[in-house]
Amino acid sequence: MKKAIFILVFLTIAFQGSYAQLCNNVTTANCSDAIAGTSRFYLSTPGNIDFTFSDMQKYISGITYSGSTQLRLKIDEIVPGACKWKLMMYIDNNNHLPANEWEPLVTYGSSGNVPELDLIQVKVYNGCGTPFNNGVYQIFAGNTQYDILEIIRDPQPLHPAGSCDGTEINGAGSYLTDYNEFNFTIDYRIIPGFQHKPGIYQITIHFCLEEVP
Amino acid sequence: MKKVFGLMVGMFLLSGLTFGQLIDEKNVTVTMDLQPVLQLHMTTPDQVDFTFDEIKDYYGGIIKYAATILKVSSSVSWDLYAVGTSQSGTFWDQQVSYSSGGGANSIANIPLSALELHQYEPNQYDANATGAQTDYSAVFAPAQVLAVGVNSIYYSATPYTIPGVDQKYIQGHNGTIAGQDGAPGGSYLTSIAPAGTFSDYYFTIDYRILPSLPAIFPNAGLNDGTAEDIVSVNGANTYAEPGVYTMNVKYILLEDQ
Repeated sequence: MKKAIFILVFLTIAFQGSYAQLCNNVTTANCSDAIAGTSRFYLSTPGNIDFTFSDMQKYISGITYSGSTQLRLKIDEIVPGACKWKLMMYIDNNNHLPANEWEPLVTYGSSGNVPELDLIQVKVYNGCGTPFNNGVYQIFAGNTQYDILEIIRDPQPLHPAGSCDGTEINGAGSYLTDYNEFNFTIDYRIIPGFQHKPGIYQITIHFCLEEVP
Repeated sequence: MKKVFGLMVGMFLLSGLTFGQLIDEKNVTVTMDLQPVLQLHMTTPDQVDFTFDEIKDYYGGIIKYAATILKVSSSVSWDLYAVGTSQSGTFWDQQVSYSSGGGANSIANIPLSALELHQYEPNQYDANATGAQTDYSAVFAPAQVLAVGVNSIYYSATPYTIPGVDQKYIQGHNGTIAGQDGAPGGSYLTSIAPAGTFSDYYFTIDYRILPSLPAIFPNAGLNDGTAEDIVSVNGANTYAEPGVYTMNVKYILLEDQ
């Protein structure tokens, strides 16, 4: 009997543990599910972005990819007037240590330092300016794995769609009807400078959409 | 036991129910390829000619001021050196001999170290160099003052083998200690030099050849001061054979090593 309870607890924890990331399980169900339900979270652009620095002009001025990622949301509510969500991104170096560095795939030379996570700059914007720090290049200033940049923050009051006045819209709505509030365009920029060790490095940026109470 | 399994199923269902809310995640993988880039821009005539056709040129030598300008851009730490070379790697190549050889004591083997260089600005990253001169920043001594090997070019038959720790570099040196043996990555395009100086990425090179009379090239020598003038090597009363001679100067920019 004790064994069975132990297995029960273990399996339950293990089953839920796979979601014990920054994108947390939610405790309310006021919005429709984005997987099995009618809400939708689209990444409407290719998932990989390659920065290749092969001449001095690129090292000096950097490389910018504008609109490389577009996120489109369709949020349906189940409980009228109670569906609220947040959107954020976080950086991941595949558990490479030190935790503040990009994951090296190949290194070409010996001199210089491995680039750090705060090297990449991201700019999030849309037509109504709903993202936090809309249209401003930001870095992952915490400079460590799983550092977060919030796009639509929490906690804050429910802001229903349609105002288009720069507030962080976090209620039900759709990019189909309120494109400038439920579409998010993301630019990426890297200005490497000259202190880095030549090589190929990689990170992943996760975008997390999550219902909040 | 049945109760326990019932409880298990219940808990699984409960944990499964948590997927019913709004949560989703997308991912973008970012790859950065930092390729090593080293660029050396050189402004110079294809050929720098020294014509000694007057006595004063033999005595006073000929200087070509700022005949070469070097501009560096590099994404990695770097070294820059000059190396003289020729067919033999030791002497100038004689292309033409005048006056039927110039007499019994004339010598066709003019040492490559007869070519003197002067660089501006000095080497800033030579902390661990051991040679008498770490670069070519010493001003040319007056023609009547002996300065054996002080400004003589480093020469080698294998010019792409990096010079030893006791040889002259223009910037950086043999070794890899950061900040001591190599200049940091950067570019002449963006580097801001203190007033009145050049940046670490911009150099002017002056050339001098001082034959003297008789033409023995008195300043020719190694970096340790060993004389290589024609008399020291070939004996008293010898001198350079009149003719046309050529040599090759390579400027090598490489990752700090």
